[in-house]
Amino acid sequence: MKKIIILSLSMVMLFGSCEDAIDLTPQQSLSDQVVFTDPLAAQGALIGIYNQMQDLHVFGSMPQIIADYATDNVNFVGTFTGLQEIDTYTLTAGSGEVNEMWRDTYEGILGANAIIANASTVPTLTAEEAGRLEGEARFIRAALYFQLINFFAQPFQVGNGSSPGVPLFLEPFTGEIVLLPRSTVGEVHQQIIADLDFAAANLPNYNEVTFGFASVQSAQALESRLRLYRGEFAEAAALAGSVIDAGFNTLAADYSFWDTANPEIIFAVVNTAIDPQSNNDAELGSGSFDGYYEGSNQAGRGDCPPSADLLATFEAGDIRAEFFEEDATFSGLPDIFTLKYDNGATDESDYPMIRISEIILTRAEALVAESGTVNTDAIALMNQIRERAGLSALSAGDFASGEELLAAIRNERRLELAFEGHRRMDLLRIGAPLRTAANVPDNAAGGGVGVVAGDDRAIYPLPQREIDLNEGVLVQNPGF
Amino acid sequence: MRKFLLFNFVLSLLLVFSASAQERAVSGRITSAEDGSGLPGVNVVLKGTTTGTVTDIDGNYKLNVPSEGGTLVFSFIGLASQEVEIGARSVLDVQMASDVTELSEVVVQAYGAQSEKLNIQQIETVGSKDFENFPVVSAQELLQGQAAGVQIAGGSGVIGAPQAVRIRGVASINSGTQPLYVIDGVPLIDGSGTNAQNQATAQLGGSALNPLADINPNDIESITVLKDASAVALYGSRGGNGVILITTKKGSVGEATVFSADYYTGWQTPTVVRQVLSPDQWRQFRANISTARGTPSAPSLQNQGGFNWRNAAIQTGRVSNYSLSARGGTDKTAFFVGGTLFDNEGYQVGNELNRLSGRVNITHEASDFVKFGTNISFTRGITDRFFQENSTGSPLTVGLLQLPVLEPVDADGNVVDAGFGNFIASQEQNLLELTTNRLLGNAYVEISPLENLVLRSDWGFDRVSTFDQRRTLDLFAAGGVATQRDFREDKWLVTNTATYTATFGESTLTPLVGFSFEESDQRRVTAQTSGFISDALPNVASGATPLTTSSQGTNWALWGFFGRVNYNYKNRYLLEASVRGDGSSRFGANNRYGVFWSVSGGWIFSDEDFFPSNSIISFGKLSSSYGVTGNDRITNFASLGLFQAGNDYAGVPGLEASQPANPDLTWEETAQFDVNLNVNFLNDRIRLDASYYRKVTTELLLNVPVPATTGFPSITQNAGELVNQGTDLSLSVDVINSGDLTWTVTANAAYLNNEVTELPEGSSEDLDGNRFVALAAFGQQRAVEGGSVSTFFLNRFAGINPANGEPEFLNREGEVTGTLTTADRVIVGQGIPDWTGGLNSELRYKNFDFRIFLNFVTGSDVYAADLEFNRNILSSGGFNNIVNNLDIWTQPGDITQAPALQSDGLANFDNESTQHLIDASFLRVRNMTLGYSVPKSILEASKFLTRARVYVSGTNLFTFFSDLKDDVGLDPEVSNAGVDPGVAQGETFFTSPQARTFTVGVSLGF
Repeated sequence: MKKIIILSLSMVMLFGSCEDAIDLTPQQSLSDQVVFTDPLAAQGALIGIYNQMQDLHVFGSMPQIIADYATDNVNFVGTFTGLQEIDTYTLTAGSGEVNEMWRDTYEGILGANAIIANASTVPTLTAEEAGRLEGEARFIRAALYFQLINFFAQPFQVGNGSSPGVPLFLEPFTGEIVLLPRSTVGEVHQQIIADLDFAAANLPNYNEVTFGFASVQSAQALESRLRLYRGEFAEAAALAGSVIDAGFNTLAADYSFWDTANPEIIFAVVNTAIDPQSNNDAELGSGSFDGYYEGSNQAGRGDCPPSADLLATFEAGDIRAEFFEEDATFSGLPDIFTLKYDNGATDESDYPMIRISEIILTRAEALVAESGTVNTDAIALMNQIRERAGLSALSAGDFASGEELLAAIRNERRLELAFEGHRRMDLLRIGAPLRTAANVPDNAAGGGVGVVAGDDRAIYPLPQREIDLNEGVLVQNPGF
Repeated sequence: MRKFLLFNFVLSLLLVFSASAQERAVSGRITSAEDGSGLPGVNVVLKGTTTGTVTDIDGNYKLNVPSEGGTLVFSFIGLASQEVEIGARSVLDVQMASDVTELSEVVVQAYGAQSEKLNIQQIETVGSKDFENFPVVSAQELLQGQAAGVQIAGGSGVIGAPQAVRIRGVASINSGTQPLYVIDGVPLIDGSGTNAQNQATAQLGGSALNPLADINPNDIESITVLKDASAVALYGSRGGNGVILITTKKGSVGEATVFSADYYTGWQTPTVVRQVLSPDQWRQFRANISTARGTPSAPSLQNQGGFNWRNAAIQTGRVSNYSLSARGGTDKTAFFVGGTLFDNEGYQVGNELNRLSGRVNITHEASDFVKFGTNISFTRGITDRFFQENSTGSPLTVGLLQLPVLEPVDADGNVVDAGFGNFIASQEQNLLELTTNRLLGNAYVEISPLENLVLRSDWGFDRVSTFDQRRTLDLFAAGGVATQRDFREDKWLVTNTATYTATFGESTLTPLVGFSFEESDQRRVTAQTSGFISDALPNVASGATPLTTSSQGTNWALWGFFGRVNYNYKNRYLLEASVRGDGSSRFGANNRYGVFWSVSGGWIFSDEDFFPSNSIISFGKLSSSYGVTGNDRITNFASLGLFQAGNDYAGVPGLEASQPANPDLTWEETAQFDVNLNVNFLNDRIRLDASYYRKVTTELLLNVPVPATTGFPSITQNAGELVNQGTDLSLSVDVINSGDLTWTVTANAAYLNNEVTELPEGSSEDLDGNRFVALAAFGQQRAVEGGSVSTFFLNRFAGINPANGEPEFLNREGEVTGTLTTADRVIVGQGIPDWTGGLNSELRYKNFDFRIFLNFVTGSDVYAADLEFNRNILSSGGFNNIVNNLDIWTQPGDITQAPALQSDGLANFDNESTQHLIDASFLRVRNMTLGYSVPKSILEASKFLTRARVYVSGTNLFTFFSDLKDDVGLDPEVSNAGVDPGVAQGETFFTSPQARTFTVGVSLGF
């Protein structure tokens, strides 16, 4: 019996020592308690939200190809039925793509909120460093809200910004679930403007930042886009003017600037070959600009060949009309594809989110829209783009009215910025239909014809998942 | 830590040698009078005293008795008791004869064994004779239909795919639902604690590691399924989903050496494959669409020729198994040594497994009170694989989607990477190989410092090491890509137990106490490059552009103590109580420890004096149990608030918030009540076992979906309640047992009702206000409060309107509509069956044996998400269509499967709806075997052979489906979610069908 007691005692001693053995910590993560107590870790959290911008459903191509799929720029030839629903306008609130756009974008927003809330308390950071940290987070948050509001809410022109926008979450997650109703489009726009103004005041100039990171110019440029969308042409022209006048960003001489650190590009989401493969990134190379826009013989998917309507819009002699190559669709049928994204094997092409070409065209359009006349400054700006494309310069005599000039600038915008995620909003904000009977692509079964801003199908449903989880606080868009 | 364990071990040994013998010892072996086998569990008592013991698993006993005189009483339920005077003997062997026709068998329990008749735990045992020479890769398949209440939901027909095992339902919504597997006392590495995505097998022919993939089915003596709370109690902290104990073959002391040689070879085809359009059918179909919709058809589509990609993806597979073993023993040592080569080329091109496994099991009696042994197995498997079915790296997926007009070679005869991929060329040329090495085993020492006390120290280990090598050649990815992934998991554990047997009067008390510590360490290294000069260079080092270099690690640990007391009065009144307390690294700092327990009782009423001894009922036992067990199947650090590192942007390292904190996270708890009746009739010729159970799982380890505006998709919480209740029935009948002819029929059936009874506040709510939990990737299914854990929630398809050819659906109110909205979805079915079961009939006549084995499932549905593609008429220019789409509407009055090509609703036709939901009730002829054993006279003449049998066998021969048109081409046993989670069962996306196998084999003994 004594021996049993001894044995039992030895076992009891074991129990004590096992307490430590089960006190384990993860090897690839840091505790959330320490991230904002260390300037390097806080900077790492900022990189984390830049990384989130690379996500497929944020600025990783999905929302951007939707801008083409829903309009007249490309044909749907892919195999993803989720994208087919966008092309045929049969999308429901259960759509996985819509759900992930919402979820992944808010994930970035909440990440930015944590930085914005904590930047000023990170030990050892100077006020300037803290301001820049917060400024970059605010730039990213603004870009994310801007994209959300474009997809899930009617354009500003519908009800002058009074229609339902998206819920405005500005604080980090504390563990307690907060439900907020949708703010109006106008309120969300004001927040974006506030964030971009803060960013412009606290960020360095373009020439002082590493390519792919936010600068004064990227904040001003993004705000000029928002002002244009809102029809605030004077502000749009002024902001675009400051970016142009800063002189850091200039038109590239030719079209070899894609996927390079070129001053043509004001802000790019920089992708590298390791991004799609990295297991820590939100999605594992299941789609990318290269994937969707490059043909399948070069390791792309070949899902987005240009529509006949887009090709027919190029003038004779336009270099950009030749900026395509023959390849095959995902299913193996011959077709042509843009050369803007040419790294199908590695998916490493950057997303040129803001280019100086856009800002030049924004200023041109805003000047004409503001004045309503055949504005020669605007023609000069547009001519910069035309001449690079191998087209002749136009003059005031070529346009009978301001309207005609406006149409020409907008057409130039379509051709220059095709496949970069602009088309859908560029149509909606001017009241134009997303598709017409004449330009609706094959296989779309007539989807989207005549749909204009204000129509139910001009925008996307809030994810059913979020409606189900929000106890009636979130109200679905009509028609879904 | 380890020092303490070592100290403990040494202490145990010291105790051994300090044990002194003051009286004389008598020992011996109790054998069966019928066949000479050792009888375990026999009570041996010195008459008139409380001194006694029970025989071990081989029938051996040892007892200290006074130096003179004395009588030993040997008793065992079902056997005639004997009293034998000891006299001067020190060895006293006894043969015992049964007093009923059926010999009592022993069942394996957690940390021990028990006679079947005295067992009051709910245990299902499947012995090797029930599955010998089945052409299977992994042992779970052997359980299909054999054990009541155990459902094996075959995942995929890809070689080595994991098998979802559900013991008495699904006890978790989105955490692990798989049982704990324990081989010879070693809980196996089973991938729990890490995301499937982090496992070596992810994305390649299976979604998760199959813990039994490297276990040779031929080494298995028995598979024991522990079902009720009392059975799983000693693995309590991990027993919530049930436990499967696997015992490997052992030799017996004193047994003559027997060599066995087994060989079978077989041919495999898929059970069913969908029919898709031929090149000409497709061209005509596309032309018809163009005409109907007024869109020009691309001239490129009209080229002549084509290729049958579907047929190219399948072949007649081959399976061969060569097995050689020896078992036997001397008077002190027993052994089993075996080796098996398993070679399987699947029915799908590019899928092959070559597995070599060996096993050595040895026990040795060093002295009268020290015994030790070891069980070691080593397996090396090389699998040629393809990517998971939801990718274009899977041949059959491509075979069903590829445009039939594409050809694998161009006009000049060069191989092209056509369309979705040319799997014929890529499977042949690209390298996609997984090499698995697994070393598994344990070593133990058993000592008896006191005559009724057995101390056992058992040290186990399990090492899985996989090397995944992939090389995509230039043709398939410009410049080529090489990927190498080295994964290993090391697990070791120590279990110390002490068992004491006290016999006094007619009572036997058997207490057991134990301690266990277990830890596991996992590492993974991945390297990937692209840009190769030549396809002849296979390795990552030869590529120019590094794409991935990654190294990750994770670990977990668990320690606990446990105890069990078994009390038995008159071998008639049985009581048992168990407890286990565990601490786990996986749970929150505030709730790291859990205690689990059970109590049970049994009454063998047929042994009561009042029970008529010559009644129709020859044996009767009533038992019941109640207890609480746990589930820890969550990721390793689910309770911590984390920022994950390694998220780079433009080459700068970053951190991303990956998980919110929940320091209160703790075990999921399952309380289970069980009542069981076991009755044998007509001298045990008819044996009936019926049980009712109710399992209530609370504190569910639930990944509760939260609004995306938190920045997280879900938070792991303990919330909600789930009830599984049902009935397990089994019946065995010796129909004929007369000389040359024997016929035995065994049948089992289980009814299960699974209901989510509570979901937490803040859960998702549908329009009716029902709370539910769903996964984004499997939106068709949800766990609904008040409904099944895998409820299908879909728009209802109403068919094609015969008047106008428009596809129609029902809205929420049941009215016909042409549009689809999420608001019109309703509950339409469930993924979990209500009735499952099997029937096994074995007939022997002279030297012939014939066996037929059926199993069935009712009440479950399968959602075939792949039909959203194959029925997609609008996208038929992108991928092939099912032949049923040719049945289009052309004029009013047509009753068709497909709509009019010009219909407005054509774009909705293929969308998610009940059109793709199929009733998966089925009856399957799982196996038929005809064998012939060479007569003894011929064997004796050979002077060499002791046993010889030849047989032919067919597996998955016929399937009777309740509600499936053949041309939809769907195997009912498919799941593309792998084995977990419970809320995503019963969905397929081009999941490969099961294999139908014909084998011929020979089995020799010498």
